[in-house]
Amino acid sequence: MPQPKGGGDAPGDIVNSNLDPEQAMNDETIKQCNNCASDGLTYSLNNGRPQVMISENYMSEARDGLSYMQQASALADMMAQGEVSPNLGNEAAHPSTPVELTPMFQPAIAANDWSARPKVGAPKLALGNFTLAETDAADVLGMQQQEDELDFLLACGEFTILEERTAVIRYLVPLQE
Amino acid sequence: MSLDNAFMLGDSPVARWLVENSPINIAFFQAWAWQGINGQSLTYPRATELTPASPMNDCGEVTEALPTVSQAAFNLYDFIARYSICAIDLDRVQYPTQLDAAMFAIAKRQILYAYAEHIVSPTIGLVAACDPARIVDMGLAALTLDCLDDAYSRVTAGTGRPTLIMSSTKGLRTYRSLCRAAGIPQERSPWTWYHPAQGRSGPGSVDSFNGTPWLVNDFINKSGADGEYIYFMVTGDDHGKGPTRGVTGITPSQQIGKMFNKRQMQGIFTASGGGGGPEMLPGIDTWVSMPAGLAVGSQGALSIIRNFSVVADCGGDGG
Repeated sequence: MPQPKGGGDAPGDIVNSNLDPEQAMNDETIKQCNNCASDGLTYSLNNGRPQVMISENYMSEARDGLSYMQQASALADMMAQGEVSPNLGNEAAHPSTPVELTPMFQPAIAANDWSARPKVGAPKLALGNFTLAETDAADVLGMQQQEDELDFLLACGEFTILEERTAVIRYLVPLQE
Repeated sequence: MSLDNAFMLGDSPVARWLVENSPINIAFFQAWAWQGINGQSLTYPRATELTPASPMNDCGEVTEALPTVSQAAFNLYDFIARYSICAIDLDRVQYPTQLDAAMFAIAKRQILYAYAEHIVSPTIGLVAACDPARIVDMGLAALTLDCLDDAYSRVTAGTGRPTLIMSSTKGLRTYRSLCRAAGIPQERSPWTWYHPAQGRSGPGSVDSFNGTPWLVNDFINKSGADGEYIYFMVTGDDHGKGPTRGVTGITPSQQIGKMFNKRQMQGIFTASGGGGGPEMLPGIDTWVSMPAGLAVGSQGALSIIRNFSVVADCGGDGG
């Protein structure tokens, strides 16, 4: 099993791991994870390493009400419980309210994935410029945030959020068994 | 014989959210570039047209040729929507959609509409910010491809070509009609569109002219009066040294990523017919706001063609 690289600051580097590297994660485990995961979270194995793709909509909702560290902690706690609420933000869900179907960002390797196709037309803006697709107006404009600009990764017992767009976000929260 | 009233055995759920039945096309937002600013306005210092320096082959005098400097200030406005919810409705309307969540979404659309209308206002919008020498006025004559090309070419900022063309649907239809009449293929460029069936964006194409995407803002001449506008713009401001300071939306830096502010207060509704008092039912008043404006760095980034006649509608309204 690949070991965490550790220590580096480059996007994609993994800082630490509290999970036994020999702990087996197999397809069946991933399948079980996906069965109980909320919309917006997709579990997969990447070179034997478990990871979760988190949709930007999911993070946007979480971002409304919590700091990134709080989000990471909350997510880690919820994952330990096997259930994740999609509403961490300012639109608290009524207990009977069904989960809103949010566009999910699939791993780029997924077959027939729109996002894996060549990108066309999406404006690439200069530093400091942005479109409403990157804001909380996207949900009422039929605009989707640019998923290929983001890389959310959950790996090996630590919760590492990498958001290249803002360059800074990088948090570590060990999962509870 | 089938069972009468079989439908009564079924559930008839209401779909989530409050569905906008007459949406207005504001597709231009996809290519509208924003920048965050500090302060309540953004001021650009501008230089007049530069005189080319002289080539010299002797030690003669080099004449100074300095531009005249001016400033152009662009202010923020606050676009605000408000809604009130009665406590009774707040208690009862929770499934499948929370009333406040639905109204918040509607308020955001209302604010985006207000902004779309603001930027094409003849008095405080792009028209007012445009260099008169970059406006082609057709005097209510028919639009032609040559005149369209003329207006297009009056954008000289950036690389000398606009990055966004914005018109009403009717303006776009007039352009398409011109292409068909001329027997030339309708020009299209690659674009990314949101596909509800997939729940995500995917490849598609968009109308274009000279390779520049053409997107609709149906708040342009929404009243349908004589005369239409088509805007040619270099969108975005790279904060650079060259003439690459284009047209942008501006918003306070702290709003980046979160354009809308939501403020709520508990209140008491006044009884119908006046009066009011503590016996009235409480409710929640909500204000949703978006501080925003527009800015034009170089006036070379904006040109307009206006006052042309548009293609006719087909038939009546069907009703």
